[in-house]
Amino acid sequence: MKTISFLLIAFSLTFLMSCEEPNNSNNDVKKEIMLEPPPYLTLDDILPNYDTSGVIGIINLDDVYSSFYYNGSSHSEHYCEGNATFYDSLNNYIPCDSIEFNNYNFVKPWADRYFYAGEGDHISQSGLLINFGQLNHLKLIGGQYLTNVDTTFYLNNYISFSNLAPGDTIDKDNNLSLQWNSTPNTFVQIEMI
Amino acid sequence: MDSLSISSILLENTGNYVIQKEYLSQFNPGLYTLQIKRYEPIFIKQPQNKQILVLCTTSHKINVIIKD
Repeated sequence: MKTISFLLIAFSLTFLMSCEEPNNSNNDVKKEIMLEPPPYLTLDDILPNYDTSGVIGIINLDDVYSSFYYNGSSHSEHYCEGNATFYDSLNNYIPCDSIEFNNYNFVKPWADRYFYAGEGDHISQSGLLINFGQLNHLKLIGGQYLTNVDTTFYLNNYISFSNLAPGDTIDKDNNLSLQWNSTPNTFVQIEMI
Repeated sequence: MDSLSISSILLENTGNYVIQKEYLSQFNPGLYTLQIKRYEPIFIKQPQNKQILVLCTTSHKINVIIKD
């Protein structure tokens, strides 16, 4: 067994070492910069910070606000979506009768998934799935296999850069300080593309 | 088109982060999208020690111009 493990590790290392660095002169290549300082975290690193034992379902709520500045005028877009799925200890799908978040009903386009998608207005908060900085209402009719849920919980204010505006110019010869509204017990991901 | 991106970095939400000029200097001048995404988990307790995880992610995207 040890021999097999050793061979597998040796093969993996050989394969990794044989991989060439991307050729940056190739216009199809996308080069990535690893930021410092560490730590680099992934969602798998985050969740162990919480008690995830006995989780039988995940409801993802995703909200993206884009604010761009082109040719002397600003343009903004707001997109939000949610999806939910429930499962037992053997990862078998558990159906529910209905799921409603802040009075938005999720539909069921797939056999094992409930879904909502929409566009919203960032300023008036109309049409948004999530109530930022306020209580949010989750109502789930579980049906035969799932316990009903009727609860409210607080979600933090909308996240946004506080020291950068759309269309700002960055001097690459200086450090770039990014600032945003901090909220406890949350994690953030930064990306520049 | 040759493009350059900062790999996604995930960190505790302290409200600030400094991108060092050594990294910025590798970017070609041009227009880029800068995004910040927050992960906010909510756990809803169920009977028999079960839970439902509500994972709220919210993002802010802006365009920025990198100059020489």
